[in-house]
Amino acid sequence: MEPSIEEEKPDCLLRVSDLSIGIDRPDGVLALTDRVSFHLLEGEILGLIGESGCGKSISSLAIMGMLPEPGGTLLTGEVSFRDRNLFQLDESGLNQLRGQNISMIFQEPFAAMNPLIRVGEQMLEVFDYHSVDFDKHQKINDLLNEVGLTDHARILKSYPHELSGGMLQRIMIAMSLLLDPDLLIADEPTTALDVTVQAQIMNLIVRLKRERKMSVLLISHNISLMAQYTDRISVMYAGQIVESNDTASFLDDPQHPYSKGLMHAIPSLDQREGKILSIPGQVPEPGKYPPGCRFKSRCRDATDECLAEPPEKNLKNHGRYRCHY
Amino acid sequence: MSLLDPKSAGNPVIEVRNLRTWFPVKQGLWGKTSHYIKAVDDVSLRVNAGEIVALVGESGCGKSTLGNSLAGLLPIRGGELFFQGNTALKKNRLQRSVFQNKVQVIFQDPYSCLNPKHTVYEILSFPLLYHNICSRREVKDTIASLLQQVGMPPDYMNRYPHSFSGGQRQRISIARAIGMQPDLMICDEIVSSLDVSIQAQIVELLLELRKELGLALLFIAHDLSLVKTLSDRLYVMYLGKIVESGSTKDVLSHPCHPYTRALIDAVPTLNRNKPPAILQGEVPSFSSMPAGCSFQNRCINRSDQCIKVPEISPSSDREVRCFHPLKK
Repeated sequence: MEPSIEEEKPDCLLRVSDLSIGIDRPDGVLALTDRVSFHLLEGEILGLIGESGCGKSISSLAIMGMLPEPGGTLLTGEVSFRDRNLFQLDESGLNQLRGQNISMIFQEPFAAMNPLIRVGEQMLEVFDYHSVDFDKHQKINDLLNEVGLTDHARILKSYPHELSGGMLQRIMIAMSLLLDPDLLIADEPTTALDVTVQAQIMNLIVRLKRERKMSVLLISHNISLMAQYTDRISVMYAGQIVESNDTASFLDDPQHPYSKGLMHAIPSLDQREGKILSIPGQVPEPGKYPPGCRFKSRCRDATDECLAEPPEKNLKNHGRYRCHY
Repeated sequence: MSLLDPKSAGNPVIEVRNLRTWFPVKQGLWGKTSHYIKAVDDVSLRVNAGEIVALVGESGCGKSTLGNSLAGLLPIRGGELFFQGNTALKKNRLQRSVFQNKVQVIFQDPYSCLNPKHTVYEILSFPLLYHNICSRREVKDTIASLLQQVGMPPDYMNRYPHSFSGGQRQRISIARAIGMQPDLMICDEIVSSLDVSIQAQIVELLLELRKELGLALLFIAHDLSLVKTLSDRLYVMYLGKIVESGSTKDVLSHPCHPYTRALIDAVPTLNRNKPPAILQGEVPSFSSMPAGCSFQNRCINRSDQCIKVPEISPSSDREVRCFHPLKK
């Protein structure tokens, strides 16, 4: 589905094409995502927006080769990292890639850390599996500084339960950057944090992108955050990508009714007019997607035509969206 | 607002003066109190009838502690509390008879605040019957109308909480609270765990309920842009103290306290030409607070004066706790 013009870009780091992931249920395989395609260039931040349950987190897990077990199934598609198909790599090849090349910040820091091991030991554990040529302790201290944590000695000696959620989240972020990854997958990295800390951490990520050409897949439901820090945006709804475009054009003129709805639903400090508009209804559950356009039950402009599968349309500037209108 | 009794409009529903919620830190063999964590210190706050008042601040600044203290869920150490003009604190104990069930709290986590073993009918009927809001015969109709009020079909009352999404659970919590016919609802970060489009739905619901029932709301949040669309007045809290208050519009368009300014500047906006600014420095912990102004180590306008504790500048509608307030 990707236009050919993008195929030829040489510096494409990650390409996800036609990725459909399902989960085994007693009554058959339940499809969670439907032919999701996107790509990420070197030194680029791609934002993936969508409501919870739309399939953005499961897509990112698939990129790491971590489908949920048991039951996670790859239905169609492939993920290639630097032209290597990730689904053809064996476990040791994947392990080499994970951490060293691709790194991930998880959403829930309490669930992602081992409660029985001191934070410092958990950070050092990374180096047990990957050899590096720099001073490990120095690197840990530098990164803790960068995420705005002081009092390192105390933090490294603490167990996870002795630290606050915000502190742990920042430790997770520092940990994900320990091995200088080429690709960082950040799944709602700052949702649990205050705006002041959020600004600090996003600035660090943007600086690493600029200095080291690190690419970032930023997954969030916060459009304002996306507007500030991403280069391109893909909007996901009910397992499908419904619109993708570069950030500036997307903000200027969103095409898909769901994107428009999202833009109206966010309260903004800038706006004079204080009114926010909600999108009526709820996201349909996986397995209960209606035929044709999946957004039609919540769409203000839906017609009978929307019962048919919506076509994918190209915009002038390589942007694409999926809608009849 | 038109449904409000004109006499009661503008009268404070709840008012606190110099409220303190301190937690003792015990040390040593005999558990002697060595010092106090001053989670809420010298806070004065007022919510008028039919008004939506927001309380904002970074996590750990004491805003939830303040909310819980107002609802009588935490022991208060000192100060005065008035509920509809009557004093509700005697010897630092909350007088339940003054409060009755007129103050209701809705909590942040929609998953832990509903008992998973009870149906919606049971969850909503217990408080109604306990407080004699309605008779056993009427309870089913009351619940049906409560559910309708929060935008849910009445036949949902036979379902269990697990079959609902976060937004729907939050609606059930709201239904439970308004069933008590409260005068004040304390909403503690009630939309922060929800998706944006669902957030907007809940906010719309709250505004509608305020109009219909003339409720006063204390809306505790950390999301300034949400607070802007929702609230009439705003209190900004930093490390247990209110640092600025005033009408939401005034405070957000012309912040006087450097901390409010920094909070506003850190919020990402859709405008790409205006990147968020970073507030430097660490938040001091409650156990090692600097003497004097608690914001001094991060403040741009800091001077020698700041080693003293700044008082709230008395003014009719705008209060700032700072020696060097920003010019309008």
